[in-house]
Amino acid sequence: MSEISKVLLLVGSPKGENSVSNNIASYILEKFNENGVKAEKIFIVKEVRNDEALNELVLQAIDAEILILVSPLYVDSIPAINIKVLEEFYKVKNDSYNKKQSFMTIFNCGFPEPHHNDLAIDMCKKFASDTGLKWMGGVTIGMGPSLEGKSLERFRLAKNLCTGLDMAVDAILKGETVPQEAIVIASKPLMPLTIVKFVMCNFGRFMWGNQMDKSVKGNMFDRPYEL
Amino acid sequence: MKGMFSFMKAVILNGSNENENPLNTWEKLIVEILDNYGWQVETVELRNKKLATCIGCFGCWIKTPGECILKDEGREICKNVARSDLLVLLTPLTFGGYSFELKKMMDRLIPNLLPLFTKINGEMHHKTRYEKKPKLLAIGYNFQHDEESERIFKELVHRNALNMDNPTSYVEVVAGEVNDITVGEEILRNIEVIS
Repeated sequence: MSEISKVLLLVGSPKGENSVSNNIASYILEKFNENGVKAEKIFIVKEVRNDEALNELVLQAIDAEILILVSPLYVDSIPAINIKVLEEFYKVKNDSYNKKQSFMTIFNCGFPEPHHNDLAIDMCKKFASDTGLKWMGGVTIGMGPSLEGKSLERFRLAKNLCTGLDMAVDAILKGETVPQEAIVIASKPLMPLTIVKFVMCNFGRFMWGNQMDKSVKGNMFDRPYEL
Repeated sequence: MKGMFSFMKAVILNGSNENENPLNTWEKLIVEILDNYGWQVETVELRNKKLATCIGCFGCWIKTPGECILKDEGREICKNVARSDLLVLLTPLTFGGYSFELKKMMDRLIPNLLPLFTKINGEMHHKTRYEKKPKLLAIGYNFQHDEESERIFKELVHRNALNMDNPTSYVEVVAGEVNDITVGEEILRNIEVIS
């Protein structure tokens, strides 16, 4: 039985429940629960709408022994709503708190190369250092949208991701540091990059064209702000 | 000097979290310098704006191409950035990145990109919607010197410039005790290079 008392998963996608971040967080949550560890999941987007809810979220985050942020990448960085939470956490934690806590992050982006997420991970690592949290590492995932609406366990392309996350959870349950190997395995590209880049560069117009609303089909390249 | 660049437009996004911050002084300095060079300047103090955060819906690509579906001031700011020749970012360094105030607007600039991809130095990036792209000047303030924060910030601005395809980008980090005269000289030097 693990001695870990409380794990909190923060889902940092503005899309909330219908997000890849939620898919990943749900997978991790299940792994903790299977092992009898109390893990909770909170959707940041639901809690940042007013100061009272934000404050409550930060207090819950501060109370967790293991804090895991699962988030998409927005504009090379952490989405604004998550920065808001980290800023508030920093203020409160520095004012009053001295509990031993660990922090891990998992970022996913639409680009095929997982390394686009590296800077967001660096920022989270800096946040951990500035707030006195123990840094456990950051997983980077490319081609995030391909995980949308899928069970990670049953999705063949997510095999490495699941293996890495399983290793990370096992280590956390034993009270150990997440091994670098787990981060490396979980962060492996879902598919060979050469193939994905070729497809995205050459068939992107077709793929996005299919997603466009009927009323604006053919308007993908509109320039409403051009003088 | 005035009149030389009379058709040039600059947008300043000030991501300062509070009224008392050196960034607000520098904002005024930048306006003064640019005005002296004949630029038209729009300043946006983001903490005073009611802006929604991006909801990640991709509506600006598939429902109203080029425009955010959220009908607040973010649309107007996005438009002004698309039409500008220079985008100035001011922010307190926040774990090496932008403050919440600045980031909420940066996330809302996505309509100025296309969903399509292109390769730059072998790496995937979005294509831009407009041929005209502003130059980028980013100034970060840190209350104390911190190498890691500064490295992250410089890299972030560089990555943003790659993704927004800014023709040139300049980044400055001012840390510790501030001498407004020195900072002013540095800003002036940057703007002379940009101009």
